[in-house]
Amino acid sequence: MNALRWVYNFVVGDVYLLIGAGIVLVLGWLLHTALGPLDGVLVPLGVLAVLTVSLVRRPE
Amino acid sequence: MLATVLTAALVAFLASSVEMVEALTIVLAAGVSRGWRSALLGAASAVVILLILVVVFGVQILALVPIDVLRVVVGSFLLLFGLKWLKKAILRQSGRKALHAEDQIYAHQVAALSRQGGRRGGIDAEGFATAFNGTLLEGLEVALIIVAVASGTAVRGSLGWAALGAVAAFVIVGAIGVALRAPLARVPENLLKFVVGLMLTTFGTFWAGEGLGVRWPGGEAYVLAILAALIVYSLVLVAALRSRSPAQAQARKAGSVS
Repeated sequence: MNALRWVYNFVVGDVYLLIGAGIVLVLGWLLHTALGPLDGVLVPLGVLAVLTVSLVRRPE
Repeated sequence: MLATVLTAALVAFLASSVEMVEALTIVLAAGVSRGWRSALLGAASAVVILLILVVVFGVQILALVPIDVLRVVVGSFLLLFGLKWLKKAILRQSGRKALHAEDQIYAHQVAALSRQGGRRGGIDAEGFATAFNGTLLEGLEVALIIVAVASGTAVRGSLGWAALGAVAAFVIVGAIGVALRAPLARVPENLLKFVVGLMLTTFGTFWAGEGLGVRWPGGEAYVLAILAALIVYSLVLVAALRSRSPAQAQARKAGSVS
């Protein structure tokens, strides 16, 4: 358990960033064929959205 | 025939240079923010592992290593690292987090890492892992380029010439990295961390997306578009947070009272 916590703190330490980035990457993977050329725009926008949510919800 | 192998060497040189500049950016970012010893050790470890893999498996290595899976793993790692650093840098620049003196930050980081067990024998785990991952991924891509260029020309000996082109790129990009070390050390620490966060987030997004099958318009050049968007948006976030910071609110209140 301590090892898992260490890995979590080491890599990210912020649940909003972890879950948000996970959602963006999974959606990017699942939808990239359906989105066509838009995926190259939507994935970076998703990353910006994750950063914003983390700053608003956990500004520390 | 000579023209063909020289062209192979030139193509390998140019294509490898792009990959090596990406690796150099990551190593420089890790070096200036987490310490050169850890970053250089991480990069050197990746090079050693690559050399062992190439010597043991030869060109078959490219069939054994799933490059897209590696891109997703390394990209996700860098994306999370980058977002964490970028968020802290935005909070500092906007006044939401204290801009400590460098000595205080260093002492705090050493204490925190000692508690977490992150620093062992003088090695910073974040710096080592970042430089190692970036170098390993880009090194494998260089190997892919060498084999692709050599097989594309289909001329005997072209593999050696393509490898020579990649070695020349390594020497030149490495020299640029050494030259950049001193000027980078003079950049203010918080600005440096801001830039490092931007770089890691950019490459993390690009590599993870590439591995997942996302089509980047313009190929490798799209890295610059992602970086530009991140810079602009981060500055907007800094301005927005600064205008809403408690200190600003207090100043506005004081102004309205007087």
